[in-house]
Amino acid sequence: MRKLNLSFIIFNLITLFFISRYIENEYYLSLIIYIIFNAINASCFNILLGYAGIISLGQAAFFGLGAYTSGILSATYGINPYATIIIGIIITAIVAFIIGYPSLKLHGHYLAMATLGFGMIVYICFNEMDFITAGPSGLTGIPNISFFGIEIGSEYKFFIFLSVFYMIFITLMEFFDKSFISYKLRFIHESENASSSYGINVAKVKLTTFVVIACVTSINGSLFAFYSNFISPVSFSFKYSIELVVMAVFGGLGSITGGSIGAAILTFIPEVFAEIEDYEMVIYGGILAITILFFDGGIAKQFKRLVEKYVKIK
Amino acid sequence: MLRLNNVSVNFGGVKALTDVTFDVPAHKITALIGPNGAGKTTLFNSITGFIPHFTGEIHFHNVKLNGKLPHEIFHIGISRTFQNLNLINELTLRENMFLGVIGKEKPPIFKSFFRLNKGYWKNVEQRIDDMLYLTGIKKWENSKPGSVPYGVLKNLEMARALISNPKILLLDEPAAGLNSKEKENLAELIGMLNTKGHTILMVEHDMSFVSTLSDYVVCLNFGKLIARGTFDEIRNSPDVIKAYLGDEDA
Repeated sequence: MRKLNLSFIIFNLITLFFISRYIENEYYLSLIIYIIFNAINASCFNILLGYAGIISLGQAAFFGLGAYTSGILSATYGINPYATIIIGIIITAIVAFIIGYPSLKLHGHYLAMATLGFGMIVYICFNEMDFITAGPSGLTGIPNISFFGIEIGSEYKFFIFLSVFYMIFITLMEFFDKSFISYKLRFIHESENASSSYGINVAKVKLTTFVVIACVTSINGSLFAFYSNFISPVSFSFKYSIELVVMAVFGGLGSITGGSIGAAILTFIPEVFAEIEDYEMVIYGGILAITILFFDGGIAKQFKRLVEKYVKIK
Repeated sequence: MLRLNNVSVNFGGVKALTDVTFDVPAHKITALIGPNGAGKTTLFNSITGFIPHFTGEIHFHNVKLNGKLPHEIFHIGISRTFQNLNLINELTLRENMFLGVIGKEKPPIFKSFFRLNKGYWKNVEQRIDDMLYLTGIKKWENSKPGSVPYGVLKNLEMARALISNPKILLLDEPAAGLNSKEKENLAELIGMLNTKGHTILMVEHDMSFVSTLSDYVVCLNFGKLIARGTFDEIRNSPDVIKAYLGDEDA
């Protein structure tokens, strides 16, 4: 098997360490926290599309299922936050299985449309089931999460908490990328027929991947609820699913760094240039088109090519 | 070993195969020939589970293949290659070889994920090495598919199919797209595999390739079996001549 490449993990570790030491401004910390949430979600989407070739436009729904399960159970019923995360995983796994079992038999545009429809339905449920979700006005009163008795209340504490989760996540991503499981997904992406003729149960592998990724996205959603203490349907709309697609494609599909790079740049830019907010979707569409047309493999691959070129010259 | 009994396939109103019956004997090379549209690939797809809705019966070592899925058929011991190469351009040739292992052996997920079973993977690497040597492509192991000759990729396909240690190897037009030197090398390789006891069923258009290698030849035309026997028997069959050259009256 391929050797582990720890450079991206070390780079993240150093960056997060410096942020924890030198950035105290709550606004910047909040921005970085959002980047991390998006990085995890975009990386999850990247595994689906970049590795396995599964185009899921319903990732925001899984993010929302985790967030609403944790939010409702902790705010309304006072259940321990960690128990709510586990319940969120179970509910999301069941939903992902029910959705994935029939829809993963579809390919390309049909699969995209099926998952898009699922995302829309969940979004409508978040809005309309106001007796439990509080509807469009949003769910309030979600408590903070605690870690070994320490309440994670401030931006700084949550940043540290989420950074630990993120570091575990990207370390697992690196193990995944160099494991036979990533090969298996890439083979399926390349040719489902060839993969099945070599003994891979394609339907089972795709469904398992879809469910596992939905569960990780759900955990991220639960943490998002405990961070913001307030959730509303707008955070889990179709628009957010599209943003994740753009982040993953722009950063680099099929690369473990792609999701994080795309999330960092595309979360940061709209915050800095607040005046472009009204044109956000137009800009995302433009970025997507330009990346697909001119930068095959996204930023990650372009960077890799540059490094390889430089190394060759040396 | 592999027995087809009255196999028929219909696509809507089109009869792709009609009552095809023949045996593929063990440890021999059998070639499946016929003009374009004769139903050769349809037959391959029926044997390997890609066309599940055929009538008739296909048995392999007394196991009925009807209704089985492609991955289940692979686990029974039937491995195949495709006309089009199915390789991942981002991975090296060596890495592409893993497809032949991971589908067959189902490595333990947890141990493999966290690299706790290095002994197992070392053994896999060794077997990949052996197969790369056997098929003569070891020196390209770290190259990516886009940077090596087509003949090397064809051998890689075969190496990948062989590493799963199949009981029978189905080759779909192995010589297609190769130059004469590459064909010679491939014929040598297939011959060597046969001497090692491998059973091979191949679809092939190149008659000199077929005549060099095949123990038996089965000829299809318009979905029907029109002749079978040794190459010399087949070449003199009026039906085969008619299928390839057309009717004198036409």
